[in-house]
Amino acid sequence: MAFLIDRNECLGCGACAFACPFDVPQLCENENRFTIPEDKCISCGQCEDICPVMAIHPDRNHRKIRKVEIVEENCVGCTLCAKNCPADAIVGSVKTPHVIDQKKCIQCGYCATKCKKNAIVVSYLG
Amino acid sequence: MSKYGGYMGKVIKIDLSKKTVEDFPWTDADRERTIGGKIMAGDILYHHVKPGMKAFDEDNWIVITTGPMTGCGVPTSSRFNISTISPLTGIVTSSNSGGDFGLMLKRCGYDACIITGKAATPTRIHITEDDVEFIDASNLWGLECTPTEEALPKGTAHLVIGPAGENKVLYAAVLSGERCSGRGGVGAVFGDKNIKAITAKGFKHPTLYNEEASRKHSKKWAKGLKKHAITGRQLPKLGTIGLVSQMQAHSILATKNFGKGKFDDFDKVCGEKFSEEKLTRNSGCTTCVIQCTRRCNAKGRNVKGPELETLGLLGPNIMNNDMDKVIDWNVEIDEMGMDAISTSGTIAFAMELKEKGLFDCGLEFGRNDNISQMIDDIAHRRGAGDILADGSKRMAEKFGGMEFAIQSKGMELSAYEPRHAVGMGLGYATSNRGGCHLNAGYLVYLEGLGLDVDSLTPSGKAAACIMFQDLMEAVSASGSCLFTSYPFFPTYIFDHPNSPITKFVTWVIPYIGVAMKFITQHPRIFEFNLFLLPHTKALGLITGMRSSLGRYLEIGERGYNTERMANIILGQKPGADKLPKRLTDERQDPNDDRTRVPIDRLLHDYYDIRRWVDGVPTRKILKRLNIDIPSHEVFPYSY
Amino acid sequence: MVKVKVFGVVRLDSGVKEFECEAASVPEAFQTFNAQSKISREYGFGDVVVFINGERTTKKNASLKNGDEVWFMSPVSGG
Repeated sequence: MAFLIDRNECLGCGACAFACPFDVPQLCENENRFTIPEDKCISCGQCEDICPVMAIHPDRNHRKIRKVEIVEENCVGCTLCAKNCPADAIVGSVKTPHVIDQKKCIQCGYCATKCKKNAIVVSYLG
Repeated sequence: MSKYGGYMGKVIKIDLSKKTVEDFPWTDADRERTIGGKIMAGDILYHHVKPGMKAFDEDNWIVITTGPMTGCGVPTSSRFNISTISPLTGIVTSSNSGGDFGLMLKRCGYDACIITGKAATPTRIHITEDDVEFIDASNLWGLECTPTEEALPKGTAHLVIGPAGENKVLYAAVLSGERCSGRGGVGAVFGDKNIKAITAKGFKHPTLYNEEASRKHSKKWAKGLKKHAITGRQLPKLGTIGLVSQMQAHSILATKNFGKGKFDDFDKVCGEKFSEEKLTRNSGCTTCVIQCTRRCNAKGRNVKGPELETLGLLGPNIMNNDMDKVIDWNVEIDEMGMDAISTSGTIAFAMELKEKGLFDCGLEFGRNDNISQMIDDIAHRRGAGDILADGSKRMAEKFGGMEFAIQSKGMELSAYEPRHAVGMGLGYATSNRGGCHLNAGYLVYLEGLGLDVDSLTPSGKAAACIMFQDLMEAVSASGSCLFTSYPFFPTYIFDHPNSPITKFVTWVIPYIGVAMKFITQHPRIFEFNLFLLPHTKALGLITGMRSSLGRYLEIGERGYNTERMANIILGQKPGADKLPKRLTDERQDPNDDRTRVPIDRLLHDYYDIRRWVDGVPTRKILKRLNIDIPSHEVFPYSY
Repeated sequence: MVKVKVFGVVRLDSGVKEFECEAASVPEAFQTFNAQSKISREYGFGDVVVFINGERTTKKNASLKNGDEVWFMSPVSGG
């Protein structure tokens, strides 16, 4: 699911664009409001948290199936991903490759933004 | 670390000379005393500055602080503050700004950063969650602000200076995208320390004490701001320049170097005309639900439009009725990285100097074809620009005309003519950083721009001034924009300006000075949150601190007194709170003696309520506010 | 003839900048304003600040004479 900005509530403050780890929200050409291109949104929800008018909500009609995996060869075990995972879905001890528990994973992709070794891959299924 | 929510819990101190970074100790007790923002910065500087310390000393600190509400989902709360010793005034300047930088500094894990020392060569400081890097910026030195920002890495938030800061124009500013830390010459201190830019990038988040309640409260607050006549309609639709016509109506539109309060061609340079003919869309700081900034097309691109002070001071105040020119000059001043208020105030002064035969650099009232060149000359300290780059007070010391050098404590006043709004005049005189309309308490909100209280009476004004000053200090310190305090007077008063309730409120205000004095002197009684000022409740929900209207007022008062004490250590003497003679001795209306600022009576009332003597805090008030009293050598006053 | 100038948010909302009319009183001036205004409801003395020749009036039915200049102004603030 992508996140959706209510066009009547949005005041163009840009908090969502600022919070987005992937620079997804876009400012409209001639209006002072933002939209979220659904093909780019990974649904981490950072925008929903920071919006001061609570104008952003998950669009449950738009389901996307994703998978987030750690590439073992690239992982150095720094644990940054595990420390930041909102679902507590990553396991591993320091300096050993970490693994994502796919049962717990909510596919938000936040871990990918934290990884400094490009060891986490987000792929789309179907 | 902090037990309170909203804070990141860390402050760093960056030494440019040694290229080191260390932790700066800041405890929860400090947070309880100061909240954050400019009050925190004032406290830090107060404990650091020594007599004789100057703006361009290696030991002068730049203190950049955020508030606990910055970045916590609260509406209109991206504000951060840059404080330092001002090269223009010699005392502390605190320069507030919105935009991304404060938010990003917190995302790096820091509530504040202090910068000391001097870099040997032009430098960019780059702050991340793990590190602070010192990156060579010689290739950026000399660039204007927009090209500088475009050259910086994508995805970072930045602070930059332009040529004015590099050349240490005494009122150079620090810019961040559309936003500006304008006043007092903070850009010159950056330039002196060879800081061309500061960039930051991080992903941390503050934790909130009560996240669910805080977000509910924020949503309600945002709704309230949207519904209010000023924050929900006037500011987004007209911007701050919407004030020009109302200022004309109330004779507070500074005209011809504050010689008059009305300008015949005001409707050629008013906000309504801008909205009808120039506005492409509005804009604003990240997280702001008001969005007061103007955008328009000029110089072949889409640019930020002028704010009120710029339009007033480069319009009526220099007898210019061409709004297109003001739009262009605003862009030029921003690109050079200068304070628009001080730049235009100094230009107006130079024009009057020529009129009086005291100094001629080609600038004259009504002539607008050589201003762009002068802006460029000032930024590069070239020719006469080198003289204007030092501000109007120093020019008056050289050439005469101190009576009409419109500055207080060395910093130029903004566009409100105080002879028809005497409370504002008091505010300008007592403002800690100099001629600032916001640090003044913004009393025009009562005296014509908002409410319509009798603007010529001094009665009750000192009490109102103090209460507003203290409240606004605390609002800024939390991380909120001062505009969020406008709904302190409910929208009913603006939607129904002639109703009996509005008339009563307007009539009674000069008489409730006694009540306001009581509130100011006994804040602890007010241990509740007032719905008219949602900030105090929000602060409590985000941080978990005990927060109330009374505590807010007290912390604001502490901030005001602390900054005053820092100024005194830096050499400010008793009697520094004054206005130029034009505003106190010359009548705006020759037939009405009330149209000049009765500064002596106002200061008498003001000092009585603040418990100061001649502008110096008494030991009694310092003790009550828990402010350390310095040694006798440094503070030789035993009031 | 009196000249009426409009300022503030009410000018943007109504689309009326200024006009001249034969009005002997403030209510009559409002009538002409409302006839030209894009705002769906009628505006009156309760909605705006009214100035006559530079002085604010609090009289709802203030009379006007030939050559007067009237201002209708939304209260503003914020600088």
